[in-house]
Amino acid sequence: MMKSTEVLTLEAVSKSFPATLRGGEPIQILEGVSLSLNRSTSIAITGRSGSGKSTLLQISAGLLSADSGSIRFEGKEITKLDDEHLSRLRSRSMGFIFQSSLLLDDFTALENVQISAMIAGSSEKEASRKSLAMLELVGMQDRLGHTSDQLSGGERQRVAIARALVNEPSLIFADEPTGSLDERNAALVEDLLFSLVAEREVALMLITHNLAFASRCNTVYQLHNRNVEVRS
Amino acid sequence: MRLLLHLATRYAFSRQNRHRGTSVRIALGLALCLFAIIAVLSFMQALQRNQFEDIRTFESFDLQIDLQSNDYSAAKEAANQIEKMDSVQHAFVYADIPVIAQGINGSTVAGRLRGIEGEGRFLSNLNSYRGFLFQDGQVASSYSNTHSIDMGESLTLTFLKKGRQATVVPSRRELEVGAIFYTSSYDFDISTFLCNVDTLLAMQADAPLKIGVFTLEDVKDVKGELVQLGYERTSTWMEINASLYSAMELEQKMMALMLFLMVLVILVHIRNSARRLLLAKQTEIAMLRTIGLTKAKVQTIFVLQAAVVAIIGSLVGIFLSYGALAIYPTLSAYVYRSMGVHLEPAIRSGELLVLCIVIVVFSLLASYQGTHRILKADIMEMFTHDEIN
Repeated sequence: MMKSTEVLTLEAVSKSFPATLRGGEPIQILEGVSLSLNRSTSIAITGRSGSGKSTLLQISAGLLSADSGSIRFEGKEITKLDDEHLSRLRSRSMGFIFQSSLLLDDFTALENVQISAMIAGSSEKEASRKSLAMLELVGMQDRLGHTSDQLSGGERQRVAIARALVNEPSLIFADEPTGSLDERNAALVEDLLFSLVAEREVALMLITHNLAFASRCNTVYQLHNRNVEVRS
Repeated sequence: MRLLLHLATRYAFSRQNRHRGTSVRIALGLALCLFAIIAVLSFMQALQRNQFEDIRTFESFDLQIDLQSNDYSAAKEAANQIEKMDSVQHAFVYADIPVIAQGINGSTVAGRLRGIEGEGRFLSNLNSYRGFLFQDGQVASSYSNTHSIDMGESLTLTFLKKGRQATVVPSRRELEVGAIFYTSSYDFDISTFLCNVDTLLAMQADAPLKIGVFTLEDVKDVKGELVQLGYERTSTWMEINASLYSAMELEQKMMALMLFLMVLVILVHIRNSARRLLLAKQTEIAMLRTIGLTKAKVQTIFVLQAAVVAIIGSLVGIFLSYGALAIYPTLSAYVYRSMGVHLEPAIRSGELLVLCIVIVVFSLLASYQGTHRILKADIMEMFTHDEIN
């Protein structure tokens, strides 16, 4: 089936958080944010800490609910999807890479990727085959049986990239993927991410402070005063 | 489903699981609670069974009939007639009179002299320590009374008999101790001297004769049959020991209350444990949700995990209970020395099964409710909050 070109569209998305856990006057984080992202393109969202970059990514992926606005993923309004459909969408069409990698700590590198494939519907055998191939692609073939605590930060991120790509998603959400890595490892992860995204024609939504890293994307947005502005 | 089961078992006891210790502690807690309940239940039941058994064997028999006359041969004939009933195992004549016994060193014991045709359960449970029981003109003293009286020594018995001028007058007889016995009932041993009926009647001819009855049937039914035969002054062991029986019933109710409280403690333990396990896995739950696992599937994983922990805990509890039961015979001598009773604890499999089912079902419910609460939050809230209440 031919996939539509537009992967993600945000229209007038707003989000606020209560000032304290007990409530109080809400703090507005996003206000009327609109943007769109096409297949095989990449966007970077930059901005100062606390500006709402991660919140924007989480709302776009349906990990956090927006107060108002429309979020369409591959033409589907995700704010109206039930848990089962949204979960299916996340497992098959979205990939996630977070700053702290967030692997399943009790599982090996191979199992982390394999579980993601199985959740998306692959059989155990198929999941194993795809996971091995992905881990080889990210250069982790020698660390298959290692658990999260036996891997370095860079290695964990490479496993997270393999996990994010194993189900051939249409869009990768990457939230500061190199934020906790040293310069050398950050460069390795950056190169790997961009080469795989280009090779597999996947869209990328990148959240980063690093302007050099951001500049490798097709479009760079800056989050300022609760809304996005095109930076370059 | 295979994936969910795999994740559930990994989250329960797998070596790779960082929180395996928590699962092990929870399962052990369940096992120990279950074991404690079963141990208390079986010991209390054994103790009660033992006490009831002693009362029915030595003290008052299953039923007793007060006869209208003191005619010994008529009483024996009546006992023979009763013994022919299908529902009756044994029927025998006996009589009790209160006595004060004095040993040769002058120490006295207030008790009773029982003249009895030792038969059936009574005789088979009576342990002859030395000498020959029920010899003409001799008494048998219990082992406990040998503190003051020994075999072959004379025992001075003081009792009341009908007088010519006064209604009753004290009378005194000396009888040789021909045998020493003991039973499993300490209360019986310290208060009873035994002899045959002839010896007792020779001391007090007007002693009120009774017939003791042993039966394997329901005592109330047998009483009904005896009343129909004309033995209207028939009493069951429960009626004779009414106050003790009601005290025991009260004890049973208190025991049920205590067990209920213990079960409550288990349930609180399960609830807190489920919560602890889930909180430990909150970030993993968020990650699983992020990569596309539905709420229902996450819930299934952790309910299955709780089931695995609860079932293993229950199995260990069952193993501990039956293990303790198996080694109990080696401890029974110590229990007898410290408590003075021979207990035969038994595990009622029905009760054990009900307890295990309660534990497992409540574990499932606690886990279901715990995950439900966590899953109400947005995925990112699960990541960022240490604890979602």
